[in-house]
Amino acid sequence: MILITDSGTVGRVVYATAYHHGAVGTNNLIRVVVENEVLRGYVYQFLQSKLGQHQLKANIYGAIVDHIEPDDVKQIFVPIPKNKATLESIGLPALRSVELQEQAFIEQEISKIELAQCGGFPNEVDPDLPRKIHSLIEPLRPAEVSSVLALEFKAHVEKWRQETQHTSSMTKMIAHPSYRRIMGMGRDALPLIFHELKERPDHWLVALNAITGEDPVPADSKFNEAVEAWLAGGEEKGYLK
Amino acid sequence: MVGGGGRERVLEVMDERDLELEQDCHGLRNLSYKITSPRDPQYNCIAYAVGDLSQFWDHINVKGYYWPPGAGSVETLAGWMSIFEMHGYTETTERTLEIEYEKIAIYESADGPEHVARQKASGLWTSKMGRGVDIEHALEALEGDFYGKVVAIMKRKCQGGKRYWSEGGK
Repeated sequence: MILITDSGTVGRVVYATAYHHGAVGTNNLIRVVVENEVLRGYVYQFLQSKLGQHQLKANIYGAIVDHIEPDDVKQIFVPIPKNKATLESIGLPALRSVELQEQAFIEQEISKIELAQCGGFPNEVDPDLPRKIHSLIEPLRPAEVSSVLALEFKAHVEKWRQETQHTSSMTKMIAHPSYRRIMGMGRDALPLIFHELKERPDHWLVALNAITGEDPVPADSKFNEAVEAWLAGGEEKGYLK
Repeated sequence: MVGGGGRERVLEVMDERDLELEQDCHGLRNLSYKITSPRDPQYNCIAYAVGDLSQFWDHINVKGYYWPPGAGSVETLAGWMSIFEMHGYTETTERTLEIEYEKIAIYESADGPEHVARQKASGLWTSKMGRGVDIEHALEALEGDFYGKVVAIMKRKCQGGKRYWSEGGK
């Protein structure tokens, strides 16, 4: 969703990301909900433009502190391109920029934690970091694995999925740097892989085989049967609680 | 918020597209295509082209994958073509519709064979996009950096005058 400040510095436009998950907002934020992702990216970009900002600030009131009202935002005129390609050429890069910001945050936080764990400068770590990280990895579940590993795992799964989903070649899928990194995580990653396999069945069989050195799949099994066999084994060994 | 410019219509069109797929296959941005199935990791383009939606066809030393005994290497065009030769196809140079023949087209990049599509009775082509959706498309719409170019067309006579695939199905 898009958030707009409505008091003080009026009209700042922010795109809410996983980083904001679980945070409590003040009453000085106006939420703009746009269901379609590309359109949301377009609206986010438009609201930051001169025309968007002029409209956002057109009805400012308040003698000392500036204010705008949700009704003012409702009345903003957003010209939406009829041409789909034009809409995408604006909306998609906007969304991508948000993704990159989110990724940059994760990378920076991982770096901070690593530094703190090395006995560097623990005071520089945000005391609220555990909550923020927890909110990022909560959908992923396991509390027993380290937060950093889970964060990294999630980022690599998403990157691998996006960049290999349209290839038919297993060789290319498993040669992808993110897939290799996940295999390199070793046994610590097993709960995460099993959980991912259960939630979104995909081609993790090679990684599981490489990490465990086992193959619990009966001969001549089809892909779905192989997934079932691995999940049964994962359950039995306590990786899927 | 007030929108001008037919927002509802735009949203409806968006739902019929796969934007991640279009990022890989730019040709789909300009040539119309139709999504005909949800995403499914259990079969791939080769499996789809030969009519097997229950297996992922690849030659890899882990159980859960299928590669026909006697077929050539999965890494080479000759290997892919050998699969279709086993299914009665022979090479041709004619990519347009010949109603009495079923055809497949293999795409190859500098890395080797990447994709295979199957021609429908309408003359359009249909493909399984990796682990993603099935689509109906123009042959040239998938040519580009991701899948490379069509380098081989193969055909076989419709058996009993009928295509292996019914047009009402996938």
